[in-house]
Amino acid sequence: MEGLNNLRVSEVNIYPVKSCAGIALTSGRVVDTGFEHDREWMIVDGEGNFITQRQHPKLALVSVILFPGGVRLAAEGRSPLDVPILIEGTRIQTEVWESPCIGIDQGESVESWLTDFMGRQARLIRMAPDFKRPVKEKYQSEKKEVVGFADGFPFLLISEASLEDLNSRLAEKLPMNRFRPNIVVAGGTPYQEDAWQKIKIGDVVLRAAKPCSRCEITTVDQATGEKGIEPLETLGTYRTKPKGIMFGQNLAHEGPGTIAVGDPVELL
Amino acid sequence: MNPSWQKAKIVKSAPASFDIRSLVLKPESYIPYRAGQHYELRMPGSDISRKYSIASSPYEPGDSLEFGVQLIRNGVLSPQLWGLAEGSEIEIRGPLGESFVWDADASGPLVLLGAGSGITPLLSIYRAYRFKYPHGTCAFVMSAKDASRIMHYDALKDILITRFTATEERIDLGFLKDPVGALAKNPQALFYICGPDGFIDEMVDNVLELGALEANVKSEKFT
Repeated sequence: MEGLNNLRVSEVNIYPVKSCAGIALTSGRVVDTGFEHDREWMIVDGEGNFITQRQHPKLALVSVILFPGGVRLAAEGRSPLDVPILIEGTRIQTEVWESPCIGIDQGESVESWLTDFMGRQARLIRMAPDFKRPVKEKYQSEKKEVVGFADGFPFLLISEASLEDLNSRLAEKLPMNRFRPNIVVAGGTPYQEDAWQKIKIGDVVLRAAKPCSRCEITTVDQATGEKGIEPLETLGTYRTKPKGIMFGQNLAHEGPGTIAVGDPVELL
Repeated sequence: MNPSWQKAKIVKSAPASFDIRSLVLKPESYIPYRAGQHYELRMPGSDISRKYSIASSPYEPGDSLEFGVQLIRNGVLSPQLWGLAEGSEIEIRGPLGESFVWDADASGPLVLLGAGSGITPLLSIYRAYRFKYPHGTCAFVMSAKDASRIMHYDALKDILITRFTATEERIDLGFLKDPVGALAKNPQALFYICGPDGFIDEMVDNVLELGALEANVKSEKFT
């Protein structure tokens, strides 16, 4: 009965600027790092350390629009800013969870926009075009996968059924955007993605690389930028594994292609 | 039942290592906690909060809480917390955290593995364990750049097993065999690991490799 299941992709999301608002797509082009433009940009402080909603929850309120050759940042009460891609410029050495990355500073106008919004010095960097960030060696396959500024892997997948199970334990239901997945799957059973090894969506074969251990960003209301305490408190009571509180599955892919809302999910 | 923000007074602020200050806070209303839990701390009225593990033991007399605050260069909150005089007030929310707690009934051996300021929740668990089980078997293993980076090192140096990365190799499987190997085969032994992402990833794999049961291993990412 392989392939005969009722699993379908129900959401495709990208987060062009790490930790800012995401963009829902009907179809996503898959490139070497994951979905095209996912976590292509990142915010760093004056010393090049990455800044996320963990330190600055209000980043959830920065919306992002892609336009040919750049990205537009907007937030309530502020003039939107178009940031054309700078291919060359100051190279900034940074790290995402101990994994070294090189970004190109995207200029002073976005630096002052972000610094003003955040109340602290902040710059926007874009992954240097000549830099490839490998997935951590321990979790690589022989394909030597690469990734953008995501925490560690090209994709994060979560089942709607997993969220429904979590919500049945919470006093106040939470939306899927708390978990910032790239691919959401409808159908099937809660936490089915824990046990998946290899799947095919559209023309893309994906391998389960590591369950996703969750941080405080899941406690930030993505509509208000307010930080609460759930779902981590509740997840901590029943989803604790040796490496943390798990929710969702990180995936790495075998090659380029397209993944679209409505695509069946085939378990290989 | 969710804890809300409340005021807390700094009753003591003292250096506890090269880059960690010990802050002892007296909350307006003291809420019982379990070893390994944390609070969120913020400056009054600010919307920028940070998570800090409790370092004190839930069995200590009095109604205060000790935290270890590492000074983060370019940090938002830690430089402010370092600058506050005793008697100042901040806001705190907690106790929080269900995934890294030590249950007081757990009388079996205890293995604590920490890196740098990841020592704080381990200190709470160690203190609680020693209070409940003064003669219990405990291996408390710490990795740090050097001794000056370990919170309360002078008080702990006789019981800690250390690797100082400025002059020694990092903790690896071979190193752990001696202090942890035999304990890992004991199904009663509990493992608490706290440090950066990579440290947790390696140490969890190491103790599982040595035979620890998955259900007995917990970790907390220090970020």
